[in-house]
Amino acid sequence: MLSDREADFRTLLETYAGRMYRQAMRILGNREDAEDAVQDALMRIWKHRRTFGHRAHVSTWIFRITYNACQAVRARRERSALLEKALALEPASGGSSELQTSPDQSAASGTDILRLLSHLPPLQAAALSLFYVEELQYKEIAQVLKIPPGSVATAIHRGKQKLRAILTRHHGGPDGKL
Amino acid sequence: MVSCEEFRRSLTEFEVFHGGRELPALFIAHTETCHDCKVYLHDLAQIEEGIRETARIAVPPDLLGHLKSIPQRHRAQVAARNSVLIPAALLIAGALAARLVAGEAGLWVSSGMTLAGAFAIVAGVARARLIPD
Repeated sequence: MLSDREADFRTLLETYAGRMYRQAMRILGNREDAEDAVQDALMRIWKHRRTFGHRAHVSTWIFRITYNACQAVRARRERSALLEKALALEPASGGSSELQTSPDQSAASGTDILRLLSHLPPLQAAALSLFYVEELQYKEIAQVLKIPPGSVATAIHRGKQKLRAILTRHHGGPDGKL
Repeated sequence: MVSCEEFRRSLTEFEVFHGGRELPALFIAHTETCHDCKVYLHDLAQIEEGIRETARIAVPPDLLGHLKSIPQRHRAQVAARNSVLIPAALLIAGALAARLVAGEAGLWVSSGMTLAGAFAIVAGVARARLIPD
């Protein structure tokens, strides 16, 4: 059970909101959707704070809820894209310049990877994000994504393969000019 | 000697068993002789680095301020829901109770009177501040 105190909620916010937002950005690829997902996730966390049983680490629980919220937002976005298509409207554009960039960073780094990550299946994007950025162990990622640890490795490997395939197809590889 | 196929397959297997930290010397030796696999490994390393760089995604400055009000917003949602559900439940319970009491006493009570009695119960409870604001 998590605390009912709003001060504790603010502490949790300060610790995790940024990480939750970045995870959502990697899965969803644009600011509006990421903000929606973080908001939904935090609302769920507050609503279900009494049911958290400390069976898992709090961060695992939070990343799990964030992942679920991202999937819900993505499903909503796909439904509205279908509707827009049906109504022959222009689809909403995804943000691609959300990174604090430095002039010397390599071509396939940062912004482009961020944009491409959101084109992967959510499971692969989340697995890559949790492994390389949050530096979670396979066992912890498996708990977050509710899949066996072996599938985590496969998701990570396939995600990287897919990113490489996209980069190679469009830009001649991760080193190519984008 | 490790074939290209074995080398690339081993990357997945190695990630499964060892967390993808270090490749055995035999596989490293393969990349020294095979240019394609060397490029392949280099590409994957670049992608991994690119993913790590996404840790620098800028968080909108107004995000935290907006999220801090979640407990208050949740309380408002609960209060709005309760302001409908609790009176509705009391109304039904009151109507049933009034019918029961009247039936026990051998009295005939019209539906209108039952409802009026139920309304009176709800109003009384609300006045006693059992319904949250």
